[in-house]
Amino acid sequence: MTEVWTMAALWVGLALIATLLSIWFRIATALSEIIVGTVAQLIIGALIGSAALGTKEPWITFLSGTGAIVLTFLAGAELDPVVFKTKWKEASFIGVIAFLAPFLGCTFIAYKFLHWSLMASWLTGVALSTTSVAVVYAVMLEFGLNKTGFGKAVLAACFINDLGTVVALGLIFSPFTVKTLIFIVVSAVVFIILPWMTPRFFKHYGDRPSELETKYLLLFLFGMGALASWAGSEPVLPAYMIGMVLAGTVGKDHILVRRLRTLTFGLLTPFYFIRAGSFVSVPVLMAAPAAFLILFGAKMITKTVGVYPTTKACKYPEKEARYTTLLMSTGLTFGSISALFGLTHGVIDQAQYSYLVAAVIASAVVPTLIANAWYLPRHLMAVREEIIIGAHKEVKDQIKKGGTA
Amino acid sequence: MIQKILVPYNGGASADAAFNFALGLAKTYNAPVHVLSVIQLAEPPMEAETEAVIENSTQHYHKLFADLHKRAQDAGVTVHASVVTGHPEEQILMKADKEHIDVIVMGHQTRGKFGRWFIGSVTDRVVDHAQCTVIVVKRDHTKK
Repeated sequence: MTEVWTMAALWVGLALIATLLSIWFRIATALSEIIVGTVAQLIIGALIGSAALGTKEPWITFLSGTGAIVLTFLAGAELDPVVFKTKWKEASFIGVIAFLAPFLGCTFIAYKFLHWSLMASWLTGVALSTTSVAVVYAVMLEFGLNKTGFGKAVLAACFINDLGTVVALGLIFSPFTVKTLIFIVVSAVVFIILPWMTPRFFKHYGDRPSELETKYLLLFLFGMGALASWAGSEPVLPAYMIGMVLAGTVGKDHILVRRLRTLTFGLLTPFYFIRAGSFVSVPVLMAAPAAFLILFGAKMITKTVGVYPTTKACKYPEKEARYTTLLMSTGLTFGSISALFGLTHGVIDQAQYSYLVAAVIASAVVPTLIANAWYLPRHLMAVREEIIIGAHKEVKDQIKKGGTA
Repeated sequence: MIQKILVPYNGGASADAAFNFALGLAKTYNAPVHVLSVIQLAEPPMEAETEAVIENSTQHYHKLFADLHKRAQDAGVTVHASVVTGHPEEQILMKADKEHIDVIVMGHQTRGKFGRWFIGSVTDRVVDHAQCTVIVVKRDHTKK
């Protein structure tokens, strides 16, 4: 057991370093963990050996997989079911386009220009098709658009977009057999029963120190994950769906969600993201960066082609449409989950994985940096310019008098 | 004439000095003080983590607001405190614009060392872009 505890101390130490870096640089913890995983593998691998981090140890694989499942569940549980019920038509329209454009576009580019195999190209399409709900939500909050009809529709659309990603990930790479059919039928029954059964079960037995709620949720997440895996699918698919169907009940229980977050961020996701980062080969990226640049460009272009006209069709103001398009091009969580799925299932090799994860990271970082660096001062200055030009005479006079606009 | 004062507040020593300075100003002009705390999310915001940051930060600021309200009450000044999410400089400028603020009173340092080196301080950007007067209060102002 000494080896296990030593390894655990090493991983948690890396997680602590990643968290400190995320605090100092104000970057997402997941991003920091991926980078720390990559650098740690590079340094420790060169000094001690490539197996030193023990990324293929069963217990690390288990903690990492559980991290992906619970994180996906929490992401699904953030859906607002009331908004979704009222906006499902618009949300489905925007979400399906935002998913299909990069999914098909990136698949085509990987197949045609990078000459990757068909399955590797499909996986590329899946990994680059995601949209970060969190990024869009942050933008909506900033503009105060989260309460407007269109803002709500776009937010709900992000869930549809990511649902498209997990469904594609869960079904494209599994052979359609009787097992798949059983998985779909059982899933449908569970997704119908859970929203009815869960609040009643929690009401009778929940709210005790024995943490019954967490065990109950983990039972369904692991059970459905096992079924998905047996059918050749991916456990994050049922996890995301369970999160969505329980969004109206579990998602609203802030204390329970907070406890799940402690478990997830404190122990599970560091193992997932550090492990995901450790598989990235920096030498491969340095040797041939063109593939990474092509994939990154492909995601940005195809997202823009899909999302921008849609926001304009919904009469979104020009600057907000551009800003939203830019930020809908992000998607770290599901992008990295898809890429790691591809690597561990032999759909892509380590070099392709490295290019893909680098493109996913770049698509998460670059749009937000561009938006922060260029958009913020310009739009504030533009407002002032309009006022001074004379669009609002009263305000102009007020400014001349030394008042405020 | 000063009718409304805005104090961006992050709970730090500089922001605290700015709040104290604003209380003095508010008493002189009989003006209310608007306190604004901005929750700055990590870049890029992540699923599940974002909600956690917003919840934790909102609770944290509400605890700090209780103390600010008490200090304002003792000074006989009205305080309106609010928490928003976004980029601090943008939210401060938007608030100043929306509430027709006459003076923004803010602390000297409102970003970490790396942030200041990389994109400049929040104070610099507010001073550059604000349409009203901005008073920058040094952290040790009250000691002099």
